[in-house]
Amino acid sequence: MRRRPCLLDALREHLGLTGSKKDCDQGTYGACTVWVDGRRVLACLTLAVTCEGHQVTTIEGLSDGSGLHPMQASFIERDAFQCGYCTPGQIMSAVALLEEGHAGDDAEWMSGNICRCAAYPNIRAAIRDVRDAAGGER
Amino acid sequence: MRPLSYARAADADTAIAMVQARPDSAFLAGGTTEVDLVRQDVLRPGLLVDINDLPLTGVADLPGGGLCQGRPAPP
Repeated sequence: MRRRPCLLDALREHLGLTGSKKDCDQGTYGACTVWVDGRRVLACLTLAVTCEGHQVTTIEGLSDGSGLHPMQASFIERDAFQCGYCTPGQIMSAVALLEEGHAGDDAEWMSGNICRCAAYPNIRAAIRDVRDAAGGER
Repeated sequence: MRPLSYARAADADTAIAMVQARPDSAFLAGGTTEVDLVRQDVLRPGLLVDINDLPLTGVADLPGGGLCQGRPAPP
């Protein structure tokens, strides 16, 4: 019997990776969105122990290290945030959305990421810019 | 969250046997609501049996109507 921290606490408190944000801590806002084996999950509702042997990607690891990921650059270009707290989760979902082939219905497939500043028009514009730069509708 | 035991089942039969053997155990599949309720102390499992890695992704029609979810994925 052991205490079982959620993935979000393991990342933030134990590994010092504070890019993933804690907001509601109950799976509502999506600010803690990360990928496990390339699939987006809510880190607050994922037990860290379940990730053993799996690859976890956070906003810190999104870029290949040579600069910003195109989605990060696009969010800046489009001013797709206000306070920025939800932004790491928005970007992790946005990149996944394009990988999943859901670019044509971005409102639905971004619906798990809430932005209290309501930057949605610019968030969607940023996503569409990256989609279009990558060759249009997928 | 209360301390709890965790196990990853190697196959579906093992998972079923593990959960049947302990009244305070539960399957952990997607887990979003389950983990939320465990963290809020609403559910209090002593053992979670993780079946996420099992190939239970298929859906099958049952003879006589109905659907079976969690059927092993076709090869």
